[in-house]
Order: sequence, then structure tokens, then C-alpha cells
Amino acid sequence: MNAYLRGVFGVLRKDLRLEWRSREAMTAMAFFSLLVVVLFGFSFQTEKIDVRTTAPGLLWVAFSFSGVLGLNRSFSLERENGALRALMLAPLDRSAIFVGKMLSNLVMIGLVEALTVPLFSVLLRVPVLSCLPQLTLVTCLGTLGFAAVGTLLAGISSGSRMREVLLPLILYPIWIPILVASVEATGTVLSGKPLSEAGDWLTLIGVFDLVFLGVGFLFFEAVLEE
Amino acid sequence: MRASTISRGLDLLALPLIAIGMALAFLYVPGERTMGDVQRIFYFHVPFAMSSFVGFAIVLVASLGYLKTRRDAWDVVAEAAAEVGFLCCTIVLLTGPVWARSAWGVWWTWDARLTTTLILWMVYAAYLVLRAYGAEDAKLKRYAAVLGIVGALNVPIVYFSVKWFRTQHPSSTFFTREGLPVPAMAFTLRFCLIAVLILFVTLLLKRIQVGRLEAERDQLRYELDARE
Repeated sequence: MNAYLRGVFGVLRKDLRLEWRSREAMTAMAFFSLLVVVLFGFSFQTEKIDVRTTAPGLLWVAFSFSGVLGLNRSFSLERENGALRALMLAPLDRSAIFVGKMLSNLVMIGLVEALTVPLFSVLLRVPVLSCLPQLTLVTCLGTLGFAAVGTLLAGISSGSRMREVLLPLILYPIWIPILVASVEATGTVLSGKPLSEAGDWLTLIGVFDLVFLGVGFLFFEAVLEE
Repeated sequence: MRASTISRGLDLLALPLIAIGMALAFLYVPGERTMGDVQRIFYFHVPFAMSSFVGFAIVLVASLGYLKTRRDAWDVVAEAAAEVGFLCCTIVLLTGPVWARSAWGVWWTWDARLTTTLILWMVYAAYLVLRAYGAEDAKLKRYAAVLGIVGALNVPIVYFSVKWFRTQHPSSTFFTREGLPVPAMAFTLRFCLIAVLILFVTLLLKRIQVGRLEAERDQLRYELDARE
């Protein structure tokens, strides 16, 4: 058990350290997320419409788009110098690689989300401070599902002929249910209602999170084979 | 009975059964009171929806089978089931709006059933994109199997959870056979269900046959190349 966790944290630390040294992906993700918020702001002429109805959706679309960048990045950096083969040769359970990579994706997307929310709040004039703890919980749950299924599918897409282009195509249809639930829950939370009112949606996200974590845990090995 | 005999038998049965089904749906069964004749689409719309679910269930089982045994036969079945299931799902999404436009006045609504079916369709499409453009042979089968499993597991959860959590559009009682007022309607629906399922199996078996031939061709090509 101990060795397993060491493996997981080894992969996690490696990915985060690599990212910290160049900060390429984080910058790109953060900037892209901001761009999406601004683009939507322009496209939907926020002065004229009630932003509250579209704000949760916009937030999660921004997360989904920038999240895919991060997911792609977490595997593209393994393609250089045979890093992926080295990783597979290490005395690690393949599922440990999955958990480690999922966690590193979770951290990176989480950081981008933490940057996006204040900007989103300011630009679209949606108050978030009063419901910050609830918003954080909802976001964490949703992002966990995204990271879980995203890491598994990013493994597939990075090994495919189409490379990065494939990931949105295979990820988004499967991501939709959690997206819908997250948007609904976020909407409930942003309008100041208590978390219990979003209970059904949160349960749904929780179930998906468990299923996707389980599937990723079991099948990542099949994705990584030589 | 040999497999090829069964296959042949189904080939011969499928089209006549469909023809009879259409006759039943358009000529025999009485029209529905409020919606009129367009409602007759129901007798095919529902069976094709059932078939697409069966298709995806087969994709799940075949994908698991492939990952467990690594035998190509499973992979051929998965691909065939995905293609035929996708076809059925497309038919559902085409016939549904035709009916909806006439019955509800709109082509589409984000109702529980419609949303689920659209998601199912997109997951199938993603699977087929991966198959078409995805990877070189060896990897492709593994990747497709994993995606097939992830996608297939996703769908029942969506199907049931949307039933539990989202308020249903009032007119959406497509799948409840208990709601049919006249015995002739129930009979027609059951008959068409069997006819469409037989059609589904016929197409599936054909597609599996094609898949096997393709695999054989690839193997021969590989051996020829190896000799040069």
C-alpha cells in the first residue's frame, strides 16, 4: 500500500514539477479560460440579458475548454524522449500512473478554475463571495469527474493518429451528463440557495465520479500497453 | 442448426417481417385519437430505439471480451454492433423530430428521453471516429474497447438518472406499452419490435461477416508485405 502511494505521489510530483519549471500549460490554460469568458461576454451582450441564467453554463464551458488543454498537455509531455516508455518500465502499478496523472490534472485545472472564477465574477458581475464554499465544493466534484474520465481518454487520444484533436471528440459526449449536473448545481449555489437544494445533482456527479474513477483505475493499463 | 443457416433464415425473414409490420402500422391499426396518423411512426421509432440499446449493450460485452481475451473476434463484433446501433440511433433521431413537429409543434425539446438519446448518438459517433481515424491496428482495438466500455457504462446511468432527477416533458410516454388503449396497438408494437430486432440481428451478422473478411484481408496483406 505504501509503495503504491509512493508511486502515485511520485508521478504527481513529477508532473507538477515539470509544469512548474516551464509554466507553459498553466499560462495557456488560464489565458484560454479568460478568453472564453470574455468571448462569451461579448457574444451574449451581457448588458442586455440576465447573466445569472447563463453564467453557470459559461463558467463550466470555460473549464471544459481549458481543461482539455491541460489534459492533452499531461500526455504530450510523455511523448518526448521516450518518457512514456520509461514510466511504464518503472516498478509502478499502471493504475498508480493513472491516479497520479489524474491528481496532477486535477491540481492544474483546479488552479485555473481558481483564477477564472474571480475574473468571471468581475467581468460578468456575478457575485460569488457569499457562496464561495458551496461553489468550491460543486466545482471540485465536477472537476474530479472531468479529470478522471479525461485522463483515461487523454491517454487514448495521445496515442492515436489524430493526437490532441481526438480528445474533445471522445471526451465531450461522455462529459455531458456531469456538465449538466454541475451547471445546475452551480446555478443553484450562485443564486444563494442552500446546497441541499442541489442534492440530487450532486449525487449524480458523485455517482459519475465514482464510476469514472473506477473505470480509469481498471482500464488505464489497457490504454498504456506497448 | 449451423450458424450460416440461421443467418440465411434471418436474411429471408427480415424484409418480409418489416413489410408486414409496416402494413400493420399503416393499414391495420387504428389511428391515435389526438395525434392522428403521424403517430404511426411510433411503431418503428420505439423498436429502433430498443435496437440501438441492444447494440450498445453488445459493444460493452464485446469490448470487455476483447480486453479479457485479446481475440479479434470480439473486436469485430464490437465494431459491427457499434455501426448498426449507430444506424438505429440515427433513425430514432430522425423519426422522433418528425413525430414531435406534428404532435408538439416543435422539432426538438431538451426532454429527458431526447437528451439521453442524443448523448447516446454522440458517444457512438465518437467511438466510430476513433475507429476511423484513430490509430494503427494494434493499438486501435485496445483504445476502441476502452472507449466502448466507458461510453456504454455512461449511458444507463444517464438514462436512469435523468428519469429520476429531471422533470419529464408531459407528452413523453414513448416507451410505456401499458399506455396503449387498444389491443391492436399493443400487438402491432410487439410485432414491429420483433421485426426490427430481427432486422438488427441480420444487419449485425452481415457486418460481422464483413469485418471478418476485412481482418482476413489485412492479415493476407500483412503476410504479402512481409514476404517482399
